[in-house]
Parts: sequence; structure tokens; C-alpha cells
Amino acid sequence: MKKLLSISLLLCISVLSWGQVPHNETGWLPEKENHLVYDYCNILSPEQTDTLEERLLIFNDSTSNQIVVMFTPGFGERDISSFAFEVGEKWGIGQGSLSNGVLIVIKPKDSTSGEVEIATGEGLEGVLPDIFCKRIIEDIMIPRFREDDYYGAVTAALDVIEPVCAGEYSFEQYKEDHKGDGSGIIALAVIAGGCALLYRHYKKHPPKNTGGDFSGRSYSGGSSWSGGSWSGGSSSSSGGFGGFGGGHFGGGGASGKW
Amino acid sequence: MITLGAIAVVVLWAISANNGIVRKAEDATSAWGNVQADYQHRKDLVAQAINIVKGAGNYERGTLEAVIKARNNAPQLNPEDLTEENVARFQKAYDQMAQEMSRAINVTVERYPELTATKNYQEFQQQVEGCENRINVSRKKFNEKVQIYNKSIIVFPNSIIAKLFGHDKMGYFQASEGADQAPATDMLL
Repeated sequence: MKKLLSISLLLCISVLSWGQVPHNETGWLPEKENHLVYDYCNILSPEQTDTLEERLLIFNDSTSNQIVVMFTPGFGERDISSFAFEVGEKWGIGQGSLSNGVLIVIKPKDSTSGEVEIATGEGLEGVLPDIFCKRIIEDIMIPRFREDDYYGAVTAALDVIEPVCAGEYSFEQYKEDHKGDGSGIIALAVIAGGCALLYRHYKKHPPKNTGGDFSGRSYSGGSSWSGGSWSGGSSSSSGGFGGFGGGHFGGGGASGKW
Repeated sequence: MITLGAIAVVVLWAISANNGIVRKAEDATSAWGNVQADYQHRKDLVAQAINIVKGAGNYERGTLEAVIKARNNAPQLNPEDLTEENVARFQKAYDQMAQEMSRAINVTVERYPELTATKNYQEFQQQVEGCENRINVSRKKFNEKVQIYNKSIIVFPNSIIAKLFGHDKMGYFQASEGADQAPATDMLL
């Protein structure tokens, strides 16, 4: 009887601690599992987790680049960068010979500020230089984090990171697409002006067929990749994740706070 | 005949034990290559910082001279000279250099706060952050290898072989004061 009681107590404790990780323990290193999305904060919905997992899995299968996304409430008493490099190295994200792994760590904003790190495997430091990671964080992720759109921030960042890793897009092209803040504002002004004109036009001449789609895409550069073959969660997932390949992390990447 | 056999066994063992130690030493010295390269990058960034300070004009001569001096004092360290005192001296010299750099930059920023808004300065900051991250990682990897090596030469009976062939303990990096925060980023970012 006593035994049963203690077992049920243990069960209770383990259920209570479900989803909790000892993130405040010095030197805490999360346990490696056989998947690519780690949400220790329960910030994503189950559907979002599945869609993201499938997207990263397909990307891993087709290009061998391993991208891991992790939401964590803490870093085991280290700074976010040291935490990310240690996880990347110890887990061996990316293929051993290529070190083509990327680890995105996000600490959601609570009473303390939010933090994000994009850590690049040694083999990707060339295509994803620190300054590029910084731009992705500042231009793409943090504006969405500020609106609590965690899923949107990650997918928008992946819309850039994936094609870069696959060699289909580069920092040079990105800079070309996002030329200076000033021109961005001008572009916005032009778009806004255009919208206003259209609005006035439609007000005067209402269209017969209402089905126009004006849902704005804020990122012209990444638009050609967003919503492509990735978005559909319908395709059956192939086989599952085969495990990490032993890639190395040498300290490449960037971090940001909001 | 038996003694001859015993001697042969001992010699063979000594050779293989020595080879094991040498291999561990090589792991450590090859990890040193990355450490040296990352610290060299810190040195390059200090040169960049000197230019930033000079570019701002009307700089404090004393602070700038201190950086230049600290930079000139930052040594190269060959992989065969990785004794405890040499590594300690190496670490001290480069930390000193980083501190002087931060001081000079901070003084300049105090005088010209608008400097922080320039693209040059922001890119510099980003590079410092990346450099310090890489130093932390390569130092950590180096320390791990040295610890394996150091352990291998103090356990018996390897310790006899180590003494016999002159394998000395190697130095490794101690955590800087103020935990694992690098001094340069500490003050700058």
C-alpha cells in the first residue's frame, strides 16, 4: 500500500513537472531527442509544432542541412550564445563532415526581456555570416516577437535561412532586396500611396467580383519561398528524423534582445 | 629468455603509452591553433578600434597610447610552448588589451555619443561580439583537450613514461574574473 502511494506520488510529481525543464540549474543541457523542434515553453500550438517539424524535416531530407528551433525559459545560468553553441556542439547538429547545422534559440519575453540567438554551424559561417544573422534577427524576427507572433517570426526567418543554406539565396541578394532603411520607408510610402489610390478608386468604382486578396506580404525578398511547397501539412511525413550528424559549432551567429 | 621477453613487453608497453600521450598532446596543440587564430582576430579588431578612436578626432592621447601599448604586448605563443605560465601570460596580455580597447572606445563614445549610430561602429560591435563568441568556444575546446592530456600524464604508470620522455603539464585558460563573460564584450555591449 505504501509502495502504491509513493508510486502515485511520484507519478503526480512527474505529471506536474511535465513541460518543465531545470533551466536554472547551472550547466543545464537539454536532452537530445529525435526531432527538430523543442518547445520547452509551450509557446507554439500543437499544429504549429507539427507543421514546423515537418518543414524542417523535409528540409533536412532534401538538403542535409539540419535546422533546430528551440524555445526555452532559460539557459542554465549561461548567456544565450554560450548555451546555443554548447547545445549545437554536444548534440552534433548538422552533418559531421559539413557542419551544416543551424540552431535557433528563443527565450520568450516574460517579466524579463526576450532573447534570440541564431547559432551557425562551422560549415555555414560563410553563407550565414554573423552580420547576416544579426539582420535576420533585427529585421525579421524581433518585429514579430514584439507582436507575440513567435511562430511567424520563426517561419519568416526560415524563409530566408533555408534558401541561403541551400545555396539558392545570398546575403548580397538580401541586402539588395532590403536596401537601407530609408528606401524601405520610401517603398512603404509608395505602397501606402498606391493603396490609398486603389482604395479611392474602388470606392468610386466598386468591383463586381469581390475576392481580391490584398493581404500584405511585408517581405518581398522572402516571398518567393513563403507559402510554397512547405506550408502544406498534408503530405505524409517521410520516415521521421534520422538523428543528428555530429556537426560542429565554433561560435558563429548573432543574438538579439527585445 | 624469460627476462628478454619481459623486457620486450615492457618496451612495447612504454612505446604504446608514449604514443597515447603524444596523440593527446597533439589534440591539444591543434586546438591551440584555433585559439591563436581567434585571439589574432581580437588583435585585428583592436587595430580597428584604434582607427575608430582616431577617426573621431580630439581623442585622449593617454588612452590611445595605452591601447597601442597593450596591443604590442600581446604575444604569439607557439604550440610547443604551452606551459602553464606561458598560457597564463598569454591570457593576461590579451585580456589587458581588450580592457584598454573597451576603455578607449567608451571614452570616445562618451565624447561623441553620435558615434554609436554610425554603420562603422555598429558593424565593429557586431564583429567584437562574434570574435568573443569564437574565442569562448575555441578556448573551451582547447581546455577540454588539455585536461585530457594533463590527466593522462599524472596517472600511474603513465606518469613514469611522461617523466622519462619529458612530457610536461600544459596550461589552460582560467575563467576570467566576473565569470565567463569576455572582458571586451562586457564593457562594450
